[in-house]
Amino acid sequence: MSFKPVHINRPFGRWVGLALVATALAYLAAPPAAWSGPASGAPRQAVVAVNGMSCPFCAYGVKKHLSALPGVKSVQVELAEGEAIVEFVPEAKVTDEQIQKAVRAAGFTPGKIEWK
Amino acid sequence: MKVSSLSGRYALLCPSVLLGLFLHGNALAGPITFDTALPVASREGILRGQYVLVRATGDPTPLGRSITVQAAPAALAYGVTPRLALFGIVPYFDKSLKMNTPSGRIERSASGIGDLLFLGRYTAYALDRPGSTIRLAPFAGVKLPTGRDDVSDGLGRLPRPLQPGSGSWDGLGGIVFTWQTLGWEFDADAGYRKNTAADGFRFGDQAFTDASFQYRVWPRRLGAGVPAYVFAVAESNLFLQGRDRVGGVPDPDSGGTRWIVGLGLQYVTERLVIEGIYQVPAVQRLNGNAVETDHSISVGVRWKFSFLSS
Repeated sequence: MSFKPVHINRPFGRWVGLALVATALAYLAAPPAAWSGPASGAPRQAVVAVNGMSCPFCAYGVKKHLSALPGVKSVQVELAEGEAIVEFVPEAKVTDEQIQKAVRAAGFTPGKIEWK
Repeated sequence: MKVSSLSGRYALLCPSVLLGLFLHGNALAGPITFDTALPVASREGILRGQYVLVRATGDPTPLGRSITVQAAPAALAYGVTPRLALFGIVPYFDKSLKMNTPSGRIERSASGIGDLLFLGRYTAYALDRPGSTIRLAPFAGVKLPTGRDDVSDGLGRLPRPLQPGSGSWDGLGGIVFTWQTLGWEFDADAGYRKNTAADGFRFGDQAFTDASFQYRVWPRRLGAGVPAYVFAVAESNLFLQGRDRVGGVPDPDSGGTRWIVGLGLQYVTERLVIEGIYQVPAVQRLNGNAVETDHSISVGVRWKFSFLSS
C-alpha cells in the first residue's frame, strides 16, 4: 500500500493565508458594527427636551448629569429652546431611559428625545 | 439708668428677626433674602457667602441707642436626591450697640461665630413645562446653640440679643412656592420659628412670610447656549415676633411686627450668582421702646459645584 503525496498549490495557499490575516486585523482594528450605532461611524447626537429648566443656574446640573453618561463626547444646553444636545462617541451604548434618568437626577422632567 | 436693666430693649438685635432675612436656607438662585423651591440636582453642591449690614438708630427714648450689625453667613446646600436638599448655615457676627448713659456715651459689642442652622427641604410638587416650572416644597430645620452667649465686657455679661449665639435649640418650619419662567421668577414662603429658653431667656417665637419677584432685564432676547442673566429683584419680608421672656416674664420692649421691602440686582451664570439688595422697613410696629431699623444692605455670591465626574 502506498500513499500518494498531496500536492499543495503554494501560491494559492499564500493568498488565502494573507486574506485571513487581513480579515482578522480588520476585525481587531474596528469594533463590530453592533457596537457603533450608525454604520458610517459618525457621532450620534441626542436632542433632549428638558422641561422645567428655565434659568442659567439650573442648566449646570443638567449638563453635569448628562455628561456623566457613558460615552458622552459633549453636552450643549440651549436654554431658550429648553433642550440639551448630547453628542456620543460612536461606541456609546446609551438608552433613552438612561438619558431620562439623568435629567430627573438634575431635578427636571425629561421630554422628547430625538436621535440624529 | 443702669445699663444692666436694659437687657430687654434690644429687640432689633434678636437673631431670629435679623437672621430671618438670610437664614432660611437659601443657596439656590432665586430670592436673595429667603429660600426657593428650585431644585438642587443630586450630588450637586452650592456654596453661598454673604455680607449683611443692618443699621438701626430709631430709638424713641433719650438713650439714643444706635445699633450696627454686620453678619457674614456662609451656607452650603447639597442635593441628596433631586427632591431632597439639605442646607447648613453658619453666620459670623459683629454686633455693636452705642447708647447714652449718665457717665457718657458707651459702646458695647461682641463678635464671633453664631448659631449653626440645619435645614431640609423636600419638593412635594413640581409641574415642569418647556421653559417654566412651578414648585412647592416644605422645609424644616433646627438651630444649634453653637455661638457664644456668654460674652462679657467691663459692664458685665452682654444682653442676650447682643451675643453672637442665642444659647438655645430652636426649630423652624414652613413651605415655599416658586414659579419660574425664562423671563421672570416669583417666590413666596411662609413659616414659623419656635424658640426655646436658655439660661432663663427665651426669644419670642416668630412667624414670617416673604415674597420675591425677579425680572430678567438683560439680555432682552435670549441667545444660543446658556446666556448670563441680570435680574432686577423686588422683595418683601414680613416678621411677626412674640415678646422675649426673661425669667419667664414677657419683656414689654421686645417683639412686634416688621415689614421690610427691598430692591436688588442679581447677575446669574451657570455656576455663579453675584447679587445685592438694599432693604428698608415699610412698617415697624414694635412693642414698647424697641429700636427701629433704618436700612440694611446685603451682598453675596453663590457658587455651584458637582460631585459627579464627567
